[in-house]
Amino acid sequence: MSKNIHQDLYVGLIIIGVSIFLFIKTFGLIEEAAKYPQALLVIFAFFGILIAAGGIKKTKKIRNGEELNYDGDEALLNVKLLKSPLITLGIVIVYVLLLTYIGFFPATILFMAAYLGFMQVKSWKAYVFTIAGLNLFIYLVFVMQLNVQLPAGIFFE
Amino acid sequence: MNAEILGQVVQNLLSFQTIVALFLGVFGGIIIGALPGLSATMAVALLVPVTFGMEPVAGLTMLTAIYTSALYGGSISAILIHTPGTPASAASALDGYQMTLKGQGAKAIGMATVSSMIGGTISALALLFLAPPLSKISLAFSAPEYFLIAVFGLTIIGSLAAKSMVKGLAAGVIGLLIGVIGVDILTGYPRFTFGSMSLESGISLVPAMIGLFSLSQVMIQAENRGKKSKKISADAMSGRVLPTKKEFKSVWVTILRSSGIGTFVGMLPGAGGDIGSWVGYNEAKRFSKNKEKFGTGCIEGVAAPESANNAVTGGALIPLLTLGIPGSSTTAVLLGGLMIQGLVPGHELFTTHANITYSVIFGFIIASLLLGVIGLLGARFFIKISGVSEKILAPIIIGLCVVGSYAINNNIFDVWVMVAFGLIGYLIRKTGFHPAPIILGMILGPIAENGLRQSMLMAKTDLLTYYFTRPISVVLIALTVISLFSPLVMKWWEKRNAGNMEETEETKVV
Repeated sequence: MSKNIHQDLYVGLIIIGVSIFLFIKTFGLIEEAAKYPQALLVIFAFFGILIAAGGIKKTKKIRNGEELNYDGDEALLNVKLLKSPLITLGIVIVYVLLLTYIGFFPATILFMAAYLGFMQVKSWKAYVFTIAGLNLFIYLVFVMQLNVQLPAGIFFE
Repeated sequence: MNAEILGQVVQNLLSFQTIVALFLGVFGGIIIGALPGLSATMAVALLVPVTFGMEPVAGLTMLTAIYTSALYGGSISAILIHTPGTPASAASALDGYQMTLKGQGAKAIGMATVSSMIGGTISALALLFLAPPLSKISLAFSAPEYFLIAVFGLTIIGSLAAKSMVKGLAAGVIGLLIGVIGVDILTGYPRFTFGSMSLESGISLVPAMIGLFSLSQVMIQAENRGKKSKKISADAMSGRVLPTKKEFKSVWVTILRSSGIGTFVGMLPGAGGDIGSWVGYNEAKRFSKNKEKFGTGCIEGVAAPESANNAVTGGALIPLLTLGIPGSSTTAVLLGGLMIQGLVPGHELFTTHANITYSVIFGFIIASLLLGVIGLLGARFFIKISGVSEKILAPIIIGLCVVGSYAINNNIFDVWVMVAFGLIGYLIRKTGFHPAPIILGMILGPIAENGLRQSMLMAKTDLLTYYFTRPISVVLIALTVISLFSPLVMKWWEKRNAGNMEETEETKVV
């Protein structure tokens, strides 16, 4: 994202774009089923316009050298900020892919070891207790108590 | 409530599952609240799948116990390391941390525990006595009112959950649009399924909740990778935990006042524990003989916000159980937990499902009392727990996110839904939106659509004229308009708080 353009402008444009795309998708529906989502999409696009307009105002402020405050979780998105969260997401995706093939518990053990490594945990005790503790908890609560059939995978099928 | 229901309530509460659920709820809630970064909302979202397979009484009692205990747990890290575990504990950090610096951390934690217990119990009693008569209002509701109540619910949470009202309302519309996904019940037409069979039954609520609140939180915490976290000093908890008789005597009026304030603030839709605790703190300061001591480590400054933020919980459950309007993001998630148990808020909860509802309310009263006992006995243990690193917690939360999403339908598609919503949740939170209106939109979407379509059929002529000829509809429209202006009132409160904080800082300098 360009540093000179506030992210709200992008957010507003994305909302408008999604609204238009989904609105077109409602053309294939019968009128009764389409009315309600169409009304929602018009409102959504309207909010998109307001957010984009706010983004333009904020962009002008940035270009005038004013500093903008971000409250709560909100932050200026950039590669540095997104790096660790997106790697986290990548590890989670690999974990979910793996659990279908090698089963829930082996995949969970691999995932936890990989993620603790990624988070720079060095104590071997932390690895052992965290991995064993969570797997035991899941087994006792979900498998034994709630009778959830977790994916068995190639090793246990 | 008659003798027969009371008998069933006693039987329900004495069941092994309910007793275990109560203890686990209180214990787990305090731990989750004590861990910086983990909120009551996240805890409830993560544990809804666990309660899904339980008896409704045990499951819902556990969720409400987590709700109230997590709010108390948040005060532990607020007092000891000046890092509120939950936003509702921010006010407690003002005087609580000053007490810790003076070597009175144990006393501050003890006072927070007793105040939270009293605040929670008073509000739970208010819930018991106020909810049943108020639920009768829902009897007068028909399709138009159900549509308007959905709109009202969304506007209040949308206008208050995010800093920007437009973004809050837009998040509500996102939720409504997600609620549209799947086969339309009335016409049988699939909407926004893009040819996917898995999407025909719609997006499951629980995986979406887990992704939006829990996975997104882990992603936010991952931003701190490599950074050192704050540690509790060894002497922070020296001394006696239980307040002395003299100390308690000096604050009991403050505790009662703040409990009343908290319960009232909780009942106001959209005003959560954070607002309740600040109002409680400010009023305690206003009434205090020692105003100048506030902010310097005054025990009243801990008692007031702590009793108020726990009192908010019972208050917030009143509009939730009677009208289906969640007062905060946690109660929005609780509404999801209620609905997956097949329970719909309103008068039926207090008639057809009275034995479940009253059991949960009595369970909530017991949880509030248990919180005090477990909190005082385990104070030193919870303090150690609050020092557990985010690095260790993150993979545990992710593991629970995955198993929780899978467990609802034994379906891997739901796990992918959770992952997708985790990314959406992260991105919207970083761009100033809040996930609570999305969840509420998903829950209220079908109610709103059915209400609107039915009222269109009922109206026969002009829909707007029809709405304005129905007194309850007019009231709901007025409330919706008022809720759109409520952020202005909140801003006024924030300004007032900022003023008080500045005053406190000045006092400290003097």
